[in-house]
Amino acid sequence: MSSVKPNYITGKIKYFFNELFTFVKFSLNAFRHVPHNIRYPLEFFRAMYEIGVKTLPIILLTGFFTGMILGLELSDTFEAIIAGTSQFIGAALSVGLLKELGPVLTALIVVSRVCSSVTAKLGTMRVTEQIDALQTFAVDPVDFLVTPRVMAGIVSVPVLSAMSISIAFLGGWLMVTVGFEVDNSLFWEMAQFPLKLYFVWESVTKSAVIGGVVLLISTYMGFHTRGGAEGVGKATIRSVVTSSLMVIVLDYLIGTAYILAY
Amino acid sequence: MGTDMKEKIKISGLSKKLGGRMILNGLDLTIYEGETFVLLGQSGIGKSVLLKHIIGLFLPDKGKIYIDSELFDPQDPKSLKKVRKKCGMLFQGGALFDSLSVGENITFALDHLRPDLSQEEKQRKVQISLDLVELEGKEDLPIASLSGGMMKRVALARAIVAEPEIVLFDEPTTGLDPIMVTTIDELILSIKRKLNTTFVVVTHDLYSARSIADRVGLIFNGRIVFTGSAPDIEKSENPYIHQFVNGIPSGPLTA
Repeated sequence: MSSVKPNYITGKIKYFFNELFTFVKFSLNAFRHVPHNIRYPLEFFRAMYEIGVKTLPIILLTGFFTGMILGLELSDTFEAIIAGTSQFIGAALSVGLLKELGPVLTALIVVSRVCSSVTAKLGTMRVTEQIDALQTFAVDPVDFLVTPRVMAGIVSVPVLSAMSISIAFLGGWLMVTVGFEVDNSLFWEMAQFPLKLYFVWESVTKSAVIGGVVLLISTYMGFHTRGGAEGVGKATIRSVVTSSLMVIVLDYLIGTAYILAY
Repeated sequence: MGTDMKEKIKISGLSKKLGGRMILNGLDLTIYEGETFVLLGQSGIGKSVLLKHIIGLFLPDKGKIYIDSELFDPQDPKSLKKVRKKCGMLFQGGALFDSLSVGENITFALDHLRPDLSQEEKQRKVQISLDLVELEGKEDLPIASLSGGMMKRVALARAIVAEPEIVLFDEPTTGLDPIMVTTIDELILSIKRKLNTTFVVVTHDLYSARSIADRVGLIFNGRIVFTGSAPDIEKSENPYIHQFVNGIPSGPLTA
């Protein structure tokens, strides 16, 4: 028993680094095809439609309700501590939504709606030999299937995130000004007060990096699927779990980097 | 096969290890221009792996493949592109793109293999290939609505639309009813007569092999252990083909 454990751990470590190396190679290969996809952008536009346009309704809906519940809970808590403090909620909402909740919430919705379907689709294409068939038509499958989706992730997630932040802020504003009767001009003044320009860059950076990484993970998992329908299911689970984890890790790393830099 | 026939595909010392198992082990094989070569063998013995080496979907561990006497290097993009223009492949499950219609699936192959053709010319070629597989007028059907036999025929139309010099068939009759098996075999023979291309067919279906083959080969332990004409397989004293053809459980062919 004791001789099995170190082998098992060594095997797992080897597997992790092997997988990481393959993933880095796969990512570099995907970025190598960016110029070609800029020249022939049809697949990129298709991916933008799938990732951006089709995800927009759910992003707007969740954003609006998140803003409302944030406004409600924060105002209620602040008022319970010191009466009249709900007038400062605009500040908490603007910073919280712009720097954290907007990018993270959007990315998690993209992971659940887009990454799962991308992995399932590419995984099915792999196990049914459709990716092999593409190659026999002299089509580079990374150029055709991966790069346009990763580019669409990098471009569309910041746009979705900006829309989510805007609609969430609208929801919060409605709740605070109507529900808690905070003065409209005071709310806006408070909302602008703590904002700094780098918050915007931080938010855009987080969304773009996370958008690219989660699409790379989901295409990678789909591309390396083995073993029929069960394999597709397992790859989809791995894709969603790894991508969700990376959303939180990258949010922390980029947030820390910006705080250290400014 | 005589020396008067031109070598189309020559495989020399091909070896491939997959998942720790030696699938191809110094395999040698020559396929001649214009013939239908049927490769027989047990399930999981490496028949499809061999086909995928010919079209560059697998990289060999050792050995060389020559097509039209030219060394095929799958790692050289030029060599790869050249071979992929020369070869069409029918995959075991069809490998049709389910988001596209029948016509779009076939046009897709032309768009990438023959970008030089005009839209009208592509349309004409799609019609011709659909006629060849007896699916004229079905170009707008979605893939999900097709039966197994129709899928194989669409996949066949897609494999031949760019007029390849070599067509590789991976188990073209697997999973089909006996009538559809005969239909597909007749289609292969009729297309062969019309196009005069080189066909390499991988199967374990003896009925199909007898119907369509000019020559037959048997693969075992990563090597070709028998080659001969289609009638030879019945009367051959080669212990491998004798055991395979007669379905004898004990003998040199082990599971």
